[in-house]
Amino acid sequence: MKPGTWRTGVPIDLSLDGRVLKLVLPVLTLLATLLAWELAEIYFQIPSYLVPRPSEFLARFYTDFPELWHHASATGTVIVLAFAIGGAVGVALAYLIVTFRSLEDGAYQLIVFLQIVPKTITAPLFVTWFGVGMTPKLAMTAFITFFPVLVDSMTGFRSIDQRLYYLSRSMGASWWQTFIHLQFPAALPHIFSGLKIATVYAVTAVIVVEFVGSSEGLGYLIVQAVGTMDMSLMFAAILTTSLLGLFFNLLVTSLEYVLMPWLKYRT
Amino acid sequence: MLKTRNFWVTFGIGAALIAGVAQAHADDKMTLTLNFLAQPAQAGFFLAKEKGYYKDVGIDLTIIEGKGSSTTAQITAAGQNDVGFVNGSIVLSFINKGAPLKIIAEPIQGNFMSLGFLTSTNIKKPDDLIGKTIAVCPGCAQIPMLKAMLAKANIPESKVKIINVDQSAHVSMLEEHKIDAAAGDPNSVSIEMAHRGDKVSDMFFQDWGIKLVNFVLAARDDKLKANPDLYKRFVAASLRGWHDVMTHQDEAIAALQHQYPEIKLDHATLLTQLKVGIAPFICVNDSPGVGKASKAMWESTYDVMEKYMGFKPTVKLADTYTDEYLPATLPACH
Amino acid sequence: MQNTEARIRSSQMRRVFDVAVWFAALLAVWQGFVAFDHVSDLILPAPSDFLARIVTSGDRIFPQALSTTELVIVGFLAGAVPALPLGFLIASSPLMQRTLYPFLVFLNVIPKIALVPLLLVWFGFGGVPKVIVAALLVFFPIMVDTISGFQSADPRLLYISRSMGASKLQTLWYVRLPLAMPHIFSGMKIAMVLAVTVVIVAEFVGSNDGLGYLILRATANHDLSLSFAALFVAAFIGLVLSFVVGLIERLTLP
Repeated sequence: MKPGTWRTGVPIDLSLDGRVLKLVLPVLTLLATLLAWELAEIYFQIPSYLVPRPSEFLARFYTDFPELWHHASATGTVIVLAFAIGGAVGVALAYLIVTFRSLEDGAYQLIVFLQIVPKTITAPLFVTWFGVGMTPKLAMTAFITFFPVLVDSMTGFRSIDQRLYYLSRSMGASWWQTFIHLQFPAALPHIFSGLKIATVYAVTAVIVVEFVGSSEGLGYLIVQAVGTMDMSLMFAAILTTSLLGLFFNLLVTSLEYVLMPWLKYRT
Repeated sequence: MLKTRNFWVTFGIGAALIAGVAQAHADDKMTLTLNFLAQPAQAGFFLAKEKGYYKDVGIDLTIIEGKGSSTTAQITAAGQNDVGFVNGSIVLSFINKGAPLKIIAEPIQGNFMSLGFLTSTNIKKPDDLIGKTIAVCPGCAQIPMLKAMLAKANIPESKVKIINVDQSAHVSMLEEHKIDAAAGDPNSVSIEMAHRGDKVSDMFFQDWGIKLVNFVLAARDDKLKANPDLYKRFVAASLRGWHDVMTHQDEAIAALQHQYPEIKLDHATLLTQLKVGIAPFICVNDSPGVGKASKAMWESTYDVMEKYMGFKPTVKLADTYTDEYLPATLPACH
Repeated sequence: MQNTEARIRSSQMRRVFDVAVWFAALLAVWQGFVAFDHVSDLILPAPSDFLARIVTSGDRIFPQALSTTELVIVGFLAGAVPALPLGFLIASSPLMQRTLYPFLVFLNVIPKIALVPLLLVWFGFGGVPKVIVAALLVFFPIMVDTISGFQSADPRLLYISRSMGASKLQTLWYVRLPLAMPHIFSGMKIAMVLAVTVVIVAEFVGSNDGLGYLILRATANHDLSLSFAALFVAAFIGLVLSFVVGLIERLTLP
């Protein structure tokens, strides 16, 4: 991985020292905190049935890996599918709204408004409508993903310079060609920014539905662990949830790099 | 000048004395966290409170509803309340994990918990559960009981689908055939459904070997040691209430409805729940009296837990519960 | 100046009006759909149904709404208040940016809602777990916006103020803070709605009161019109609180 070829959206210090330091310092801080935690528990005799020690819950990753993996993939699968569905519908709807200009202004305001309205609170409804299983999780998460992608895609489609349309039309491009070669790539940065916002909310959305009713998934595992007073498993599950969030963030960022290779040439 | 000073000194001392006396006579505040939402299964406490038994012994009791025995047990262990009303096996397993709790009374000794299901689902024995979907509420006592029952019948857990849903959804999910059975008890499932006109049946855990001390009062060791007299008074008042539940069931339900007006069920249904689902279980198996489980019951509890709940007793049975807070004369069983 | 102000305000009013019209249209379509398709009210209640319910079941809804709102406000303040000085600290100190900031970013990755069962065990069923979770959720976005707010100051303004002999404190109060405020407030508006969401969701998991509990219970009992009524009230509270923040912004930054 040559320095400078990986564009992740964050300015990277190209010098080796800078890169190492940037990674090492926060990791050290994290390790220091974990160590302090462990020592504090031992010293102050904090009961580990109430507050598990880092050594305990980190060990669970080794001993309970299959279970953690099973539930993490259950939750993760839902997110991937939800992104696909929510993203596709969002982009498509954005395209339609922007193309049929009459809908645009009022609809846009309404959609932005709806984006702000709390949506995760409808989780019990989804469970009542779709029962317990993958469906309510998928429906809720797709719903949550849909909004930021819709709003940002609309911004993306609208941001295209009008003159480019004259150009493409004068060259005889069909609407599909216009879409694939002009509109979609131009809107892509915005679509991705919408997706990145969605990753933040998607993990939470799935967990919330799992809390309300589920038979597998990290939210299910967390509740089960609390129910059996297995605090170290619970912490391990919470940590796994964060790792899942990080993973998806990384995934979207890598996808961005793959689909928009021109970014790495930007200064 | 001296006279004025004398006056203020006397006034001051007098006021302090009065305040001190008033303080000494003010009721002791206590918080009891229940295992779940208010229902006939906790009637003893509501009746005792309604009839002023707590006030009689100088206790100002606040009752807080819970959301599963497990959470209540943990909250009690964390010191967030004074005493918790929780399922026995859950407290025992928690004590074995190191929680500094002690069981001080056993108001409901018999295991009234069950799987509720529509009669048409035709579940007659644990084997019939293979391939079925069962709803449990997170943190509820029924989870380890269900698992123990499956273990005793040699059914691997993977063959049964267990779903975590909030208690309030169990009845509607059963009616809509979204689940085959709900792990609860007659009070939360079958009696209510019968009231709605459904044909329901129960599979009682105790019929399939899961005999254990069901509901107990537990408190933290340090709180007990700090004020043993307070806990003795509390237990005495509570057991009076539980005794009266057996003889004055109507009053018990009236107390419940009075203190929790938002409960939707009508008096008759609640009464049935109490009469059928709770009262018969207060004293079981040669119990010496209300609130004290027989030795046999305790041993059966530990036995079930060890054999079928994967329980490794690191704490001796005798150290998990104590009789020292029970009143000298236990109210009689009926 | 007045003309511009009036124009800005009228365009804002226009926007609110637009949204209101479209929203009313949405409700009308919804109402029509439910009526014509004879949709059972166990699946989707009509707006007329649940809006009326807000009034008829007000005695159940309002106490819960009040309790939830209290927790939201306390949680918001608990998270916002430390976010400001910490944001300023990080914006001003490169060392903090290298150590503290990445650490906070990492902590922020933990979905706060996943902490609720844990906090329940530690702190019981009262308001504390919800306040903590709301504070945690609100903290990071406000801090990030504070940082960007402080970092966005045009250096020339700082030169000017220094050349006029302003002390560090004066610079902070009269120049940097007002410049950062718009960013901070925009962060706060979003954070406020997030706070409402997280408190209600926390109430799903571990509470016996509050709007979240009401929504959960109503839905489980198939009383969907009550459930939607409560949801509507919840969304409304979120928007009103956010609007209040905006109002405070307008008052403090003339």
